[in-house]
Amino acid sequence: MTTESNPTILSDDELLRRLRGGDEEAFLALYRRRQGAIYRFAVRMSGSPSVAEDVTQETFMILLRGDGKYDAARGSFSAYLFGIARNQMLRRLEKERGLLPLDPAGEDDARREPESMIAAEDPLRDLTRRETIESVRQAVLSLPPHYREVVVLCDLHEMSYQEAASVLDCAVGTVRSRLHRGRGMLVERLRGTDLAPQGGADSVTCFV
Amino acid sequence: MNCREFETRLRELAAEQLMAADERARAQAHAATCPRCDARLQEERALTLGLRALAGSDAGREASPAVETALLAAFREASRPAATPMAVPGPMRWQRASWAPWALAAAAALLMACGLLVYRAARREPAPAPVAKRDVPAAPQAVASPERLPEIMAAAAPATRTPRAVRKAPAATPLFQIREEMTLYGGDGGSGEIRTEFLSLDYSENPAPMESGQVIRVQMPRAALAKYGLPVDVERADAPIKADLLVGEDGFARAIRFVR
Repeated sequence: MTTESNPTILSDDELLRRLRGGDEEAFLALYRRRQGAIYRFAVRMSGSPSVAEDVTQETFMILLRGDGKYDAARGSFSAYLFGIARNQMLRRLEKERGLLPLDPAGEDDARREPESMIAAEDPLRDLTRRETIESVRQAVLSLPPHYREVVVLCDLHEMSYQEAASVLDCAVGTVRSRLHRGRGMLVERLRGTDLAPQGGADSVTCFV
Repeated sequence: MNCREFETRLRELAAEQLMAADERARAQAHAATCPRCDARLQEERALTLGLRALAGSDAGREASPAVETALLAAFREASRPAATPMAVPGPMRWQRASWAPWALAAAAALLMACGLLVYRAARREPAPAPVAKRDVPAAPQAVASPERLPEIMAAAAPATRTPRAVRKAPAATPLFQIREEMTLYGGDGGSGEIRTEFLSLDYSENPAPMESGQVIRVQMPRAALAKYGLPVDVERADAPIKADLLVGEDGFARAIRFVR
């Protein structure tokens, strides 16, 4: 396969152009390239793998239908796709306000991938780390949606203020202020939690 | 640097992100002299590490293969060549094909109904008053009766007789007031007819301009007046009323006026 015809090398814009022309390989390449980030965004926003899959599917369905108006001059394709996912997510959260469990009983346990990436040399340390991560996860999920989304985009997806502003269709200053407020709320909610595994290079200070 | 300025740089300091060297130095100097800000910095550093750990634990998560399967099926369905002549190849066909056949069928039914009513009316009613030039296209294709076409074209009114721009249907207005506001084409043309202004049937925010069209005389139940905010004589609700439809070149009716 030549460089030009290998869809995994082509840019997002080129894949999108080919997708619009009915190129199945281009669609698959674009989907496989971007679906993970969209899915992780949705699961970090909702806490539910099934909701995240629905949002992921709907996001790409909207892309296939051409309902949105992607304009390369306004931002990256990634920001555009995140913008669709974000709108779908907010719609769901609005509809299920107060009803969506932060940790659906059984669903997350069944679907969540085991954290086998973490070395289990010290089982207690490993357990503490998992509890720490879970505490942070729940704290993020407890934030109001408009603070949660900036924390997820900037701190979990490591987007710049500019890119997050493009996704959220707001000013950079708005992103900064919401992020500052969101992180402040996280600090308050995590106060009293032991985030410090004993020893280790990644030890953190206990919140007082 | 004061506490407020320090607070605005907390995230960058905690994450050890790039910042101007002098700014970092000033922030660190402030933290060394302000216990409260130093404690805040420690909290932010702990939070940053916790969020990084969370991001790391999620790093490999992806949607299940079922999502890809469903999307691929949808993509293939949309890419299938369609049977209708209006089909557009590729995914964009989804949106267009969903309404185009309906719109064609509706337009065809409207034109056939109008043609039938006009034919019946032409056999009983006197010829309508001359219409303004703007109402009649260069080559009208459907008129009450073809033999009257030269008469209608020749009687195209001068600019002073051009109708006012169509406007939205007014709120309920008594018929006698309508008579006073009416635009008359050269008076009633000797036919004894009185007509309302054209009432727009296009309720979009930016109605598409109409390059040409034609006026088609139709007949409909008097009760239809209510749809356009006009009062209806209940005792005569079933009696027919004449109307002129202004039909654009796309076959859609753009405006209507009532005639008596």
